[in-house]
Amino acid sequence: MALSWKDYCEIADALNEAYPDKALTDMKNEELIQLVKSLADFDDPNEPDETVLSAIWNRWVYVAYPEG
Amino acid sequence: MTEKRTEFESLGGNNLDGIGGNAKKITYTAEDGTKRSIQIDCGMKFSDKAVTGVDNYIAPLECDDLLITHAHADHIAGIVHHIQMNPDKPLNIYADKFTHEFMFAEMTKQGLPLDKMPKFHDVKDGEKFSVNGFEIEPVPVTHSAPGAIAFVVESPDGTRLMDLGDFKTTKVELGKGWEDDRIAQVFAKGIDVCFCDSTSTTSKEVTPSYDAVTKGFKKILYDNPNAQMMVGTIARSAQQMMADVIAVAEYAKETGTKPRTFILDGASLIQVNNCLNKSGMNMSQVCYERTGVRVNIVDAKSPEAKAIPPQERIYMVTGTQGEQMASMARVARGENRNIHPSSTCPNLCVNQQAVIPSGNNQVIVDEMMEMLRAQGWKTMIPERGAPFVDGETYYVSGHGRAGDMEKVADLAAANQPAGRPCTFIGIHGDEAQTKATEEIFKNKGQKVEHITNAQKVVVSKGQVQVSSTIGKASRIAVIDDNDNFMDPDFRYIKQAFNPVSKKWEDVKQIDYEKILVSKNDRKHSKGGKGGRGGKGGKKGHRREMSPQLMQQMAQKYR
Repeated sequence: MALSWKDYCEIADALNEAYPDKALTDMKNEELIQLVKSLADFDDPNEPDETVLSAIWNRWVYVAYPEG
Repeated sequence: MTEKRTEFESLGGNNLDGIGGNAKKITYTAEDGTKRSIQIDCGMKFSDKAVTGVDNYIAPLECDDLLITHAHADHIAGIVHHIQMNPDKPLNIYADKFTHEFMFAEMTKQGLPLDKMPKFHDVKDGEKFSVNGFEIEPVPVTHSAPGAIAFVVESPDGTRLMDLGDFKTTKVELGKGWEDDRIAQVFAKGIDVCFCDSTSTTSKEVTPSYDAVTKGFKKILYDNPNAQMMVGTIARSAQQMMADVIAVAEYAKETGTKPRTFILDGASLIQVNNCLNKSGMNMSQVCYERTGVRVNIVDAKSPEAKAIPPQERIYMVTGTQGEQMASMARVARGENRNIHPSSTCPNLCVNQQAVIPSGNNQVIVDEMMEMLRAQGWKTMIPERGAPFVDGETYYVSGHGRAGDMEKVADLAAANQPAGRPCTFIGIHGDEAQTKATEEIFKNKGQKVEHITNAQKVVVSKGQVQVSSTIGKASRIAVIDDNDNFMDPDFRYIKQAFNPVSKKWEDVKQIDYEKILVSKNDRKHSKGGKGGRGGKGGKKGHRREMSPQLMQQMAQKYR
């Protein structure tokens, strides 16, 4: 199923799978948007707002850093 | 015709159930009998699941408008569960920006849908606002969590209550923090009742400032100039981390050496660092402004971190209490992907948090430290309650002691308008602690009262009274049947306190439609399954490492 911006948990999972070694501190929104748009399952023509991007980034951190 | 009045009620975290699960409600009753309320905090109290079968207990949420004093779990962690149980309840949250950023991050951790998030309103010192007929004045205070706030709540009849939140009276580097003049200004306008954090008031003197941590940490740097360092910290208590960063800058300046780099390992630390940056409290920048030295703070996964020579590294890690999934326990087990003892220089582990006396924390932490020593780490951990030694102490509490309360009493005495006395009440503590607080204020000539959970303080026509009857205290037991914070399956049981047996009793299981955007269940489903104690399903973040596992791992490394 195609992912849209609101599917922030699935997007975070997909990002972690696609970019497992990515360091997340200091990531700019522009880079995050590009990474999301590069995902094969992502298909949403809209532009994300700050809240959506924060949610994706936050969730990705929890997925990527199992150290708690 | 009803007599108009303002009531304060402690909904949790006060006497009946020890420390944790803090929540307070303020209600104004008008002459026509209509009532309006706001709530301050909605926290969680930890539970030892192995003993109780319950992950934690949360305070009730009885209002749509919520003031939050700071970002610690015992003040905020109930909220996400109440949203689970009642996702369509409109909820407005008023707090400092750091607190909001952190709460939002925590809610994404549990996969809360974005359209169910509460509405966050940033509050700032000097900017009063109105909520549901109450005039609110946020006042910065000092605590280990940045962005800590005391709230002055003025009800429509002019009654002014102040909840100081968790506080101590020394200054901070991150954010504004406590200022005597600011508190004096508040008392000068008149406060009818002031509620005081009592967690540490049985200890004498003033709680040392974070400058003491900087001094103590700098001594560790002098004593271990060539060691690779790993420092255990509680992420959201970032004032202590800030003190460490300043210590590194001052040490570099004094010795003419290159400043060490802080390497963050663990989701909580990465999150908190991000929340600080978004709230205008970038630690590297704050340090530079104070010392003129730039200290880098990087991610443990970054190529930059891997290129730093071991003796220039300070790994900041989570898991000071031996939490199984956290960074420090993973290092102890040899399972951490990013941190390993160096073979080219000494290795030093500083656990910067004393053992919290709960469950079998002491055994777990002792064994974790022993496993680290078996790997070649020299270890340091502060002793709880140890006397403060200037230049040696590298951990301080965020809670005020007796000396801090005396300072509050003096500020009130010097500034309170004539004819408008303030009544002081100890909250956030057990019976001994809250009574110790009240004794301090009484000895300073102030008026005091004592309350327990579900007991009301009523202010009417300027008179302060504690109701003789005690309401039915309640809380909600939270059980995660999945034992997995990334993919939880919560069950909620309402409990009530039986004043005769002095025990909490189950009232009913709360039915709810699950709204979590869970990995295994993206659609709405009935929340909760199975009996108390969980199903033993997929294991995620367990708070404690089992002693058996720790023993096995310790033997492996001996």
